[in-house]
Parts: sequence; C-alpha cells; structure tokens
Amino acid sequence: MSASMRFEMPAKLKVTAIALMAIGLVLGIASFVLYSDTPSRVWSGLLINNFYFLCLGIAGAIFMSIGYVAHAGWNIVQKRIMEAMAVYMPIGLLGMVIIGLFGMGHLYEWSIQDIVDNDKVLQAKAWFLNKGMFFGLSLFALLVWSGLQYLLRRHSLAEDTEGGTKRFWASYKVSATFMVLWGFSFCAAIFMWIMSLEPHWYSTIFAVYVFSSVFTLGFVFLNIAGIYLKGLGVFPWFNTNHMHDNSKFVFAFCIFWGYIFVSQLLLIWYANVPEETPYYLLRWGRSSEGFQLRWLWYLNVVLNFGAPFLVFMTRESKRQIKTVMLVSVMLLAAKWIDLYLMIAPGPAKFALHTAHAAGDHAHHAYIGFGLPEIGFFLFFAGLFILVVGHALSKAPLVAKHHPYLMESLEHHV
Amino acid sequence: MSSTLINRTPCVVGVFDDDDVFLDACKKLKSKNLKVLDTFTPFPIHGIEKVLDVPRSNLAIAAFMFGTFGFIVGVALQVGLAGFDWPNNFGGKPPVAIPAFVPIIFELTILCASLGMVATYFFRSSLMPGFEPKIYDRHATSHHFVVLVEKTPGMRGEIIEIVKNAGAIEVRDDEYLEQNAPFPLPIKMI
Amino acid sequence: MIEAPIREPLILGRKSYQEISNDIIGPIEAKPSKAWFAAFTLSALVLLFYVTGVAITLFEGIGVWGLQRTIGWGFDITNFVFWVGIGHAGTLISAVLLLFRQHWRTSINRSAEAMTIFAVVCAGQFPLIHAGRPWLGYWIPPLPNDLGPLWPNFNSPLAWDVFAISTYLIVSLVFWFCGLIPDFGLIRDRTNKKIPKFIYGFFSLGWTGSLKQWNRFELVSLILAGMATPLVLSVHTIVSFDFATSLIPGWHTTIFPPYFVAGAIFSGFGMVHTLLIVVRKVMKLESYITINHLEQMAKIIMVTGTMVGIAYMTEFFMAAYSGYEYEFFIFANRAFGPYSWAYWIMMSCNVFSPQVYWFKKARTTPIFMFIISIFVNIGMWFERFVIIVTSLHRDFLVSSWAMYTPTFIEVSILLGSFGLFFTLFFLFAKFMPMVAVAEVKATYKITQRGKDKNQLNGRGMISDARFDHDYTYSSDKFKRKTIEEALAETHDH
Repeated sequence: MSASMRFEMPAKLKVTAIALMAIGLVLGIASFVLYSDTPSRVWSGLLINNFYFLCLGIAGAIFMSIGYVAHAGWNIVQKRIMEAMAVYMPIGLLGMVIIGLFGMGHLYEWSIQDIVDNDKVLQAKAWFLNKGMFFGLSLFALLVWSGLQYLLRRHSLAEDTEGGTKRFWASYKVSATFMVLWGFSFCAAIFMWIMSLEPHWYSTIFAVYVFSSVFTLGFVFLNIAGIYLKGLGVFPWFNTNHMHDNSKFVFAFCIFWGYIFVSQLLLIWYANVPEETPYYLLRWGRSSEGFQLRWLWYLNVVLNFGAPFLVFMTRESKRQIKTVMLVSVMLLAAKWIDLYLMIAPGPAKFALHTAHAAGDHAHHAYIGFGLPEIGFFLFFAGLFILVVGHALSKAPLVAKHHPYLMESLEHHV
Repeated sequence: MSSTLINRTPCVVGVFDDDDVFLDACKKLKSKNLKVLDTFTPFPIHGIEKVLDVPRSNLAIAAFMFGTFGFIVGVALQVGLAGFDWPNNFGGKPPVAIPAFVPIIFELTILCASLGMVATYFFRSSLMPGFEPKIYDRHATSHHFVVLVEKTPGMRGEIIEIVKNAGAIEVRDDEYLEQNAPFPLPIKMI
Repeated sequence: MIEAPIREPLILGRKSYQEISNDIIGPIEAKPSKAWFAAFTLSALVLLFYVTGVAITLFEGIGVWGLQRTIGWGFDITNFVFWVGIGHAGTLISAVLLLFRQHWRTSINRSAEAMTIFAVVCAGQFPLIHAGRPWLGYWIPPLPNDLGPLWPNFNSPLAWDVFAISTYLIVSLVFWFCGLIPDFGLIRDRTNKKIPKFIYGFFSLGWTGSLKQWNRFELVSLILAGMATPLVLSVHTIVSFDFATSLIPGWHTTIFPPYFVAGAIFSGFGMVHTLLIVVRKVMKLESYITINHLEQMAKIIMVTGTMVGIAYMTEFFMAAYSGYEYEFFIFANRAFGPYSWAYWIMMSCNVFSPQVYWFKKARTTPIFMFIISIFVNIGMWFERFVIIVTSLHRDFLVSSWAMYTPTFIEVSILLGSFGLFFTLFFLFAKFMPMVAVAEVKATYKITQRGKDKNQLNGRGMISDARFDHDYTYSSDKFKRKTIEEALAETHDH
C-alpha cells in the first residue's frame, strides 16, 4: 500500500449519486406542484434536508480545526475525509442563502411585514429578525467559514508535496481563528435559521443542542466513509481502532445530546412559563394547531439517546463493523427525525395561522412525511455523495506529511 | 493481620531494571513455553497483557450490574416515596414527576456503579486495609521489575539460564509464589 | 504506542525510574521545609477566621449576616457555587484527559484531584451553615423517620444538590484513592521507619503491583473516568438548576447547565494554575510540572473563558431578543446598575484577561500566568455574586428593591474558607505524593522517545539508536520505521 494511492469514484457510486439527485430533483419539483396549497411544507422539507447535509459539512470543518488546535493525533488517517466533508460546507451555506431568497416568506413569520405590524413581540425582535441580518449572517458564514476552510485545505494539499511542519503551524493558526469566529457566528446563525422558525419562542441552549447533533452526525459519517473506503481496498489504514474511537465519540455525544435535551426540557417544563412551553406543546399535540408528533418525539429520544447508549456501552460493539454500521444508519435516521421535529412544526403552524387568517379553514397537509421530505433528502444525499466523492478523489487519501500521521497509523486502543 | 495460606508454588524469581528488557524477557519465557506465574512492576507495562495472555477483566460488567441496581433504587425511592407513600402537589406538578426525578436517578446510578465496581476490584485483587503482602523485591514498586516463573521439575537450571540471559540483574530460585487471601475464601471463586 | 516528535517531552532532563521515585517521594520522607511551615502556619491562621465566623453564626444565628427578605442568598451561596466550581477541574483532569489520552495529565492529576476534594469539602459547608441548624442536617436525606411519612421534596433542585454533591465527593475520593494506592505502596516499601511504614502500609491495602492488580487498576481507572465525566457535568448542571428552575429573571435561562459547566472548568483550571505555579517552585517539581504543562492549562483557560464569554453574550442577546422587559432590565441593570462594578470585574477577569493567552509569551511566563490565574479566581467568584445578588436585589415589586452589604462575619467566613482549603492542601502536599509516580513512569518513555537523541532508558544509561526519529515498537524489538513503511503495514492491530 503506498500513500500515493488514490480513491477514484466507482462508476456505480457515481451513477447512484446522479440517479439520487435526478429522482430527488423530479420529486422536489413535483412536490412544488402537488403541494401548491402548502408551499411552507415544501420549503421546510428543503430546509430540513439542506441543513442536515450542511451539518455534515460543518462537522468536517470543525473536526479538522479542533484536531489542529488540540494537537489530535489519533484521527489523522481520516483527515482527508473530514476535508472532503468540509468541501461540501459552502454548498450547504449557499443553500441557506437560496432558501432565504426564495422561501423566506413561506418559512419565517417575521419576514412578512403585515404580520410584524400587528405583533408586538415580533416588533421587539425586529432588530435581529430581519432580512438584512439573515443574509448578513448567512453570507458571513459562506464567506468566512468556507474561506478559512479553503485555506486549511490548501495548506493540507501543499503539505503533501512540501513536507515539514511549516504548513502544520500555519493550519494551526487558521484553525484557532476559525474556531473562534465559527463559535460566535454559529450560535447566532442557528438562532436565525432554525430557532426563528418559531419567532415567539426562545431558548438560550438551542445552539448547543444543534451543535451536539452536528458532532454525532460527523463521527457517524466518518465511520461509514471509512468502512466504505476500506471495503473498496483503497483505505487500508483505517482500522478497528479508529472505528472504535469514532464510535466512542458517537457514544459520548449521544449522551451529551441527551444531557442537553433533558436540560432544555426540564427547565422549560419546570418553570412552565407561557413564553417557553409552546415549543413542546406544539409537538405533543397539546396546542390548538393539533399536530400530533408525540410518538415521534418519544421515538426521537429512544433513537438518539437510548438505543446508541445501550448498544455502544460495550467495547466489542464499537469494534464490530456490523454493529457500528447498524448504529450509524440508525443515527442517520435519528438525527433526521431530530431535525424534522425542530424545523417542520414551526412553518406548519405559521401556514395554518395564515390560512385561518385568510378565512381558509379547509384541511391541508401542513405537516407530514411525504414527497417534499423524501424528494429533497434524495437530492441532497446525491449531491453530498458527488461532492464529497469528488473532493476525496482530488487528493491522496492520507495526508502523508502531517506530523501526527505516525501516531494515527500506530494507534491502538 | 493473620492471613489464610492458600497456595505455595515453587518458582524462580527474576529481577529486571528496565521495562523494555523485562517485556522482552517475558516474551522469551513465553516462547519457551514456561509458565509465568505473576509479575510485580512499579507501573502497568503496556502490551504485557497480550504477551502473557491475561484475559480482559470483567469489571465492566460488575459496574453495569451495580449501575442498574442504582438506577432501580433511584426510581423506586422517588416514585415510592413521592408518588405513593405521601403524594404532594408541588407547584402543580404530578406527584410522580419523571423529569424532576432524572437528576437523583442519575446520581444514584453513578454512585452505585462506581462504589460497587471499586469494591469488586478491591475484593478480587486482595486489597484490604492492613493486609501485609509478600514482597519479592523491595524495589518492585519503584524501579525493579519482577517476574515469577514456575519451576517445572528438571527445568531449574534452564529457567535460571533463560532469565539471566534475558537481562535479569538478579535471579533467585528458592522462592515460592504464596497466594494469600486476607479472608478465608477460595480466591478463584469470583 | 508512540508519540510524534513534534510533541514536547513531558518531563525535563534525564531521569531513571529510581530518580523519579526519589524526586517525588523524597520530600515526603524528609523533614518539612521552612517554606512549607510558613505557608502551613499562615493558612492555619487564616482558617481561624473561618472557625470564628462560623462559631459566631451558629451561636447567634444567620441574622448576623447581611441577608434580608429581598436578598436571601448572598455570600454563602456565592461561596458555595464558587468552591463547587473550583472542585471541577480535578476530576476533569483525571477523567476527561484520561479518556482523551492526554499524557500531560499525569504530572498534574494528583494535585488537581486533591484540590477537587478540598474544594468540595469547603463548598459543602456553606449550604449547611446557611440552613441555620447544621446539627439537623440528617433531615435532608430520605431517612425513615417518626415525623409521619415526611420525605424530602424530590422535585426540589436543593434536594438534587444534596445527592449530586455527596455523590461527587464520594466518587472523587474513591477515584483519588484508587490512584494513590500504588504510590502508598511505594512509600511503604521505601521507608524503614515503623510508624510511616504502618500507616502507608495500611492505606496501600497490601498493594504489590502484580499483573492482575495493574490489569484491573487500568480498567477501573478507565471506567471510573467514563462515569466521572458525566458526573462532573451533572454536578454543576444541578447547581445551575438551583437558579434556572426558578422564575427569577437572570436565573431562568436554558443555557445555564452547559454554561455553568464551562465556567466551572474555567475556574477550576484557574485555581490549579494558582496552586501549581507556586507548588512546583516550593516543592522543586519544575522538571515534572513544566512550562509545557502550564501552557496546556493556559490554553484550556483561554478556551473555556471564551466559552463563558459566548454564554454571557447569548444570555444578553436572548434577554434583548425575547422582548421580555423584566429579563432585559435585569441584564441592563447588571451592566449599568448599582452593581455594575461587580459585573465589569467579572467581564474583564473572565472574558478579557484570558485573551492574552493568544500570545505564546503570555502562555509560557509563569509569573504572568499566576497573575492571570488570580484574575480568573476573582472573576469567577464575582460571576456567582453577579448572578445571585443582581438578580435578587431588584425584585418584581419596586418596594422590595434593596442593596446587599456583607457583614464582617460573612467576609471572614469567605476568607477563612481559603484558609481551610490551603491548610488541607498543604497537609496533602507534605504527606502524599504530589505527582502520580506510577502514572508518570508509565508514560515516561512513550513521551520521551524520539525527541532527544540522548534520551535514557529506565536504568539511567544513555541508550543506543533505539530512541530515534521515526520508529515504533514492533513485535519483539525496537526498530526504526519510516512513514512509508508504516503506510505499507496495514494490519489491524
């Protein structure tokens, strides 16, 4: 096995990805037509799936930066996968801008001037909840986050030919800058993109909650990609020990997710403040909108916390490809459900209220699981596979001159 | 403290002063099919479990069992006392307010799991206050690495030779492995 | 296991295993130095403030404090949260850094764990004294009693606190003790004096360092670390619930749990810095607790300080964003009201001062780090003061608005609690190994290999070419290995 060996996207994968994109695109466009009575549903489907894959992109970026800042050694063999994930990040961020440009009126209540004029709470929030802020934050993320990641990628590729530690220390500085700028703007962006879907509601922990999911998703994908590439025979350096440590992180961040989940729920449940409880009541079917997501909500806790916690408790389960793949696929679904529960009810409630205000009391499928959710998932999944696969094939699969590569190759748990 | 004598096995004691040399010696002994009864080292030697085929300890299972016990105690305590023995209305919450019980359930789970596991560890490793163990080398807790090799009949000279050649600074062959237990229990029971 | 040459060696100079034992155990066997006596006497004197303050409080009742109907929590709960926070770094260093395989923890984990335990001991005093009648403390746990079926309110965060703090104290103590057993065994085997041999022998529980003992020791440490990590998080989370479950503006906010945990790590590392910068000089441990160690901690202080900063900003942002005027009033009042001096002390000490650690020079100058660590301690004390007092002093009813002035007794209890903490710490420094000897030895070669051509083996002799740049431990001997060779070897370990 030599380090110059490269990954070339197998034709099968390429065709699958393009097929997924094509089917997704057709279904997505069809859903705009078929769900023309509830465009908010289509846009929230787009938002959920775009954000889902954006999370994977962000995960790649922060893993790489945290790795540099913390001098991580064990995971350097997977560094190129993280880089490839980060390459997808600008596309997801561009997706946020596009959603803002064309779907804002269907998703975000605060973007409709008539509503704000009659709503004191929204008026008080207008200094933050406005179009300028939305696009400002999204463009900041697009330019600054992606720009710094582009620098990291360039250093990493240059290191392959140059060697030495100069590029490492340069990346170290870029990473530290990225972590600080990202940390502050990520919180604001999450409040903007996701929390403001229910603009009357607020929770200070919300960004941390999303962050815990980003982390889990990232490690899940690293495992899947590592196992896949190893199966192709091009990535022999990824071994049980790396999978074990990735799985440990999955385990840890599932617990962390549970911790943040309970913290938010417990505090809101305990204080029972009318400003805060509607978030849960809407999902439990206890509000006038009548959305019944209670069982999905329970399932969400089981899949995101209970199941991975119990399965990954033993050492052996984290070292067997079968169980790791099982938990990974389960978590991919679980995190999607988590995002769905976060995003879908808000725009649905907004659409229902708008319809009622206009005197339309007919039954519409404001919320559900169907064409828009599935179609856009397929589209973005195909796009993600294509972009990440292409980025992976652009460079050797190991960063040969990374000073910590040896630690990673000789890593055993 | 009086201790119950369980077992006396004649053995050769080899003393080393470097961990790498010591580990290599263990490998050599193993490759010659000699039985290493025990080792005494100042710190855990990385990789020795593989060389001497030490099975992974099952203490994790003990921790899990004790943790489950703590979890059940936490649930039973709170649901029993607050839900059934004397139900109260605190701030309009139901008497069995599950989210509010989470913290104490969690704490009791961790408490029972760690105390139970450490108690099992002490019990299994014959760690008891006041227990006076047999010391094979005074520096075995500081900078000497001691290996005890079983003396198979007729092999005495050969064993001493192997241990010496492996780099031992001291070899004694009139020793016994004495397995003491601070309490009269067969040590292999658990 | 190997370490990349780019990592700095953890221990300075050439040491044999025997020298490591001598360096760390020596001060315990020798007569205490004058510096130690001076420091110990001073802390014991400061402890007298505590004893006096508590005695007066118990004799007279807590009316001697500056608390009133509006501000029912003052110095006492501030001190409680402050000390609990300090008590987080120790277990964090031992547990989280162990899980992350950070070898640099081995030089500092022992003293940090000791610090944790003493800090929690200090913390536990305050709610008990505040309750007024500590001798009725047994009313708190759910003990069967003859007062009718009278049980604690399990819905109360104060009851959760009792479980959390006591679990934390017990588990930290067990964790600490488990690590101390091999080192007690070492002291037992070194000494010939009868009394120390008996005492250290008693607490070493008959440790021999046998194969099975070490095998289980490592697993126990790992599992304890795995359980202590969520425990650390839970403890300060539950402390934050004391505030966040209420309806008081400035207290009820969902970010409190992770924000308190970040703050606790921050303040804990601040205190570890304060202690170790002094102790490494006094106990002559500079080659074990190196500038490199201090720099790592400085980085953690900077990161957690910035995280605390994000939390402050999030709170402030959400107070403005929510459009909830009482909430916003409290935050504006914090920054610009009568207690704004406390707020700005907090801000500048916690958020701004650690930012100097962006400069390498600041991270590697001990005296500078010492000053910043004092700022961190002050800042974190004021953070709790700001949270508690500024939120309480402007009640919902304007007629209830009040100001809080601590009495001399409260100040002397606070001062005295530092005396208690340092007295315990100096006793520890004299009678127990400050550095985990066995763990330092276990990581010594791993962290030294390949970094200096003149490195030593455990015997204290200059070794041959074994210790060189790229090499790894292969099946039966050391051999050099290049990256290309390592890449070519693709076995699953």
